Amino acid sequence: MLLSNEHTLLAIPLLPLIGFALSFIIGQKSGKQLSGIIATSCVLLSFLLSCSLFAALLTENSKLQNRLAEIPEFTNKLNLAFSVLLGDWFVVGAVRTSFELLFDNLSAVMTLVITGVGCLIHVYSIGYMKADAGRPRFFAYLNLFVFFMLLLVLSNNLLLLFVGWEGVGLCSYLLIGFWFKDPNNAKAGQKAFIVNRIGDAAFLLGIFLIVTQVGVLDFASIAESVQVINPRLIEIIALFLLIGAIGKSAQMPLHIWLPDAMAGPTPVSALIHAATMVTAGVYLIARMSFLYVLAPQVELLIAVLGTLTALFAATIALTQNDIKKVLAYSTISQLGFMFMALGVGAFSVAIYHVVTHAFGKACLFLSAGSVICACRHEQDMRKLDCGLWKKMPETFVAYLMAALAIAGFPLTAGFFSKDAILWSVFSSKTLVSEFLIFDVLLTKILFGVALFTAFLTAVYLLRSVVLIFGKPDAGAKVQLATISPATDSSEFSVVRWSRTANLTMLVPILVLGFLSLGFGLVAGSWLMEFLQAENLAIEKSFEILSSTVAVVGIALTAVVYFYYRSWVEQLLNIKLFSRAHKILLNKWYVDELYDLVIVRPLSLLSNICKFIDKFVIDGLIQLGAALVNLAGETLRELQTGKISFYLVSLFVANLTLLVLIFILKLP
Amino acid sequence: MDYELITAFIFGLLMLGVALGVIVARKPFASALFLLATLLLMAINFALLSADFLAVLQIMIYVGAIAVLIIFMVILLGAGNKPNEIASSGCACFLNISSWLDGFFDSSSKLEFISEWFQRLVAQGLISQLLTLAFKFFLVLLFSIGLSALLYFSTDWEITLPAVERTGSIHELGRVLFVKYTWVVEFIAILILVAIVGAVMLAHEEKQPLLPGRGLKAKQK
Amino acid sequence: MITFYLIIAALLFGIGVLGILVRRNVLVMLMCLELMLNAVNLTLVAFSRLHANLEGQIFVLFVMCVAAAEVVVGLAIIVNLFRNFYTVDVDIANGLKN
Repeated sequence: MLLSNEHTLLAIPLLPLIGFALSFIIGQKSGKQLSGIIATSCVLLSFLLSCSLFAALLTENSKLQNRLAEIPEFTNKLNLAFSVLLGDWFVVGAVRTSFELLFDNLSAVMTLVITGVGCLIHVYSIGYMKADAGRPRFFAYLNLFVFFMLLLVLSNNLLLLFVGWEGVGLCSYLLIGFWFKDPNNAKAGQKAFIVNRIGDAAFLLGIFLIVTQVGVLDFASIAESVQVINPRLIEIIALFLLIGAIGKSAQMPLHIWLPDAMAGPTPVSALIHAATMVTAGVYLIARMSFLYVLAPQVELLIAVLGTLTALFAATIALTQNDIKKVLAYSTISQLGFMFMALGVGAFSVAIYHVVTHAFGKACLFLSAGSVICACRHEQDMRKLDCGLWKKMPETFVAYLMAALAIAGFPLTAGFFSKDAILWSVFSSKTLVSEFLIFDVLLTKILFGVALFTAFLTAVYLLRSVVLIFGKPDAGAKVQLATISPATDSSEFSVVRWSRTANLTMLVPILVLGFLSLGFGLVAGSWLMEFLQAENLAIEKSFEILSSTVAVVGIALTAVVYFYYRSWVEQLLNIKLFSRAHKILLNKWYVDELYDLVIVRPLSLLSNICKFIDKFVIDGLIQLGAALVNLAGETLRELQTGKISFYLVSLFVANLTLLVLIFILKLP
Repeated sequence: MDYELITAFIFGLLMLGVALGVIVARKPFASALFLLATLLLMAINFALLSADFLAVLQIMIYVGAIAVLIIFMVILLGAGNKPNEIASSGCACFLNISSWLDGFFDSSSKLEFISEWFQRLVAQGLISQLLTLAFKFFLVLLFSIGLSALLYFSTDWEITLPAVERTGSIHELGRVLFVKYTWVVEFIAILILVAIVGAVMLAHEEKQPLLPGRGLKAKQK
Repeated sequence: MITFYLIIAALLFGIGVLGILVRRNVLVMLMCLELMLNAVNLTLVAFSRLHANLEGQIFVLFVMCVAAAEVVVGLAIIVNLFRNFYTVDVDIANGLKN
């Protein structure tokens, strides 16, 4: 080893930070392509370092287990973790926070995913942003994002995690509004940031409560002393942290920012809004699992919320016509699945689903990006009927692989993780409710909804596959002439796609597609063991049930959309379905509801405040100034400049003084 | 019959009347003359109070210096005249007197000259003015005499003034002044010096060239 | 009898004050100022006569000197005033107006 473990751990998040600085500085000066190469190599290096550190962790852990096996009395499970301490941040009274990084099993998995998928997406971006004028800024922001995300998953305490949390929110805002000259993009960025802020406020409240109750913020210490806290307070803390996770992971009340975030460049959507940032909420809850096992009511809330979100988003995704919007709602739905798993206490299963979803969704987004590039930024699926499966075969294959994986086709990685989630929901014994009479009934209901949602997932994903890549219909609206790269609207030029750029975009897509297919078979069970999952003995019949549902959904959709597309239109002509379709197309009118209930009263309030500030407060001050002015003007009349007047006033004052002193006898 | 008291009454009331004339007079020159009269009567009052040195000093300083200065100023500044007639008003006065004197000494028949001048005065109405003025003065005098008589006979005035020697004698005054108040005398002297220097500085005027030649000479220098 | 002199002096002082307040000609104001100073002198002399004390008369001497000095400087100022404004109306110098 060239570097010690501690130094490696330190270098993992620092390399992207250096990449951020270098991309900005060097990229602006010399050729713009250099910034992409610098950024990618930094993340690649970080990935290699995390791989080596991971290997070191495994070897050390196995050594430890061997040693422990020699001691027969020792029955506890013990696990190794690397940590490096940089120094104290602040010490206030009894509260001490430090810059400390932790590399244990959970962090290792997340780090590998972030750096690995991030590296592939950087490679893709080199090709995607080839002709964009703002490339150095883009790669700098991407690297900054990777740094913050790594900080989030590698931190040892809640406060440093919160720093990473805020940082990824910031980078998300910067990257969504990357093409800031269009005001819609800027607005989308603002929306993301503001909705995130709502969650962050609750997160902070949770952190404050923990500090007041326990006095420490690092995970190990909280885990030790979590029993001490009042149970009701535990629930409240868990609730606050949950609200933070809801904001970040786009669950139901705060999901509104994710579809709008598709205004950013496609690599951004892939990295941030599919693979990594939106999983920060899941990671947080998994990290604080020791807290959540003690808060059963909040767990119930998480499970119900996750299920409802999954269903809600899946229904919307059925009707959307924009490629990226379908994928966005699909992301929300899959995140709902992850929250479902968290709700029943299967934290490792949720992380497993994070990993498989990262591969699959990133692949989907990147191939969609290729398609968008090729069809000159046409994002409406209905207009893409031009037999792309022949014209872009590699992209088609990759997209199909990832879609099958997420839909849950048997033996794909997505199938294994989704199966594990469904099984843990079905067989959960920890879900407790004081409000419903039959606990068991509740888990079965949730399972039923989840299964239906899985079916819907298959439907909408295959629908998108067929619509995007399907055979040409009569009346194709877009002709594929030359494939033009992504451009900023200020620098439009139709350039022939170079072979290298094509390769940089293609290789990551294929890699991710194969990963999403084969990861489950190869490393699935090992990952579950690594993350210390329990209750994994899935019954055979259950597996058959879930795979049947998925296959049926896939096949049905493919057939219908491929051959009997007119049936769909006739179906929509029925009044019931057309009304339902309209509601779903308009996203259940959630945005409009929020606008009516929240945004308008707030803007009214802010207008009132503005009025008060301008007229009342400023008016008071101006009144004071006006009074002084008035007094001055009035008293100025005394200064006549006439000596005779001054003499008279002198005499009168003198007289008054004399009268006061000698006649009225005032001292 | 207390002659001292009556005299005091008369001269005191007369002084008040003349003082009223200072503020009432229409022309500033008349005010100056009334001031002169007031200062003189004040000297008489000082004398009545056995401060004879001060009475003499009053006449010397006030009447002889201050009042004269004021009258000079009134003449020079032509108080109330229009600008640029400063010189003309003062000069006119002097020219009038000098021309009368010339006429007086040049004329053959002095009596005739005087009668002619007198007739001119009557024609101009100056005699009537003088008579009116004299009449007014007489009235004031009468008024003060009357009032003092009234005062004397109406009130029981304290007649007893301590029978003292001539306390205002210059010997006594000098002894107290230069023995007890030497320093004050010195400071007063410095004060007067400062006043002189200040007045000279304030009243200093830049020399204005009156003739073209003079101006050229000034430039050549 | 001292009372009479005191009353006269007081009245004379009052006349002087009245003159200063009423008249606009600066030279007449100066004359009224002299009236006031003389009234004070009379008071001092009267009291000196009452108490048979010479100090009153000495003070009067000093007052006269100061008055003389003051008249000199005052007249110099008036000359300057006249040179600038060509009039001795005291209300003309209203540069401190407002």
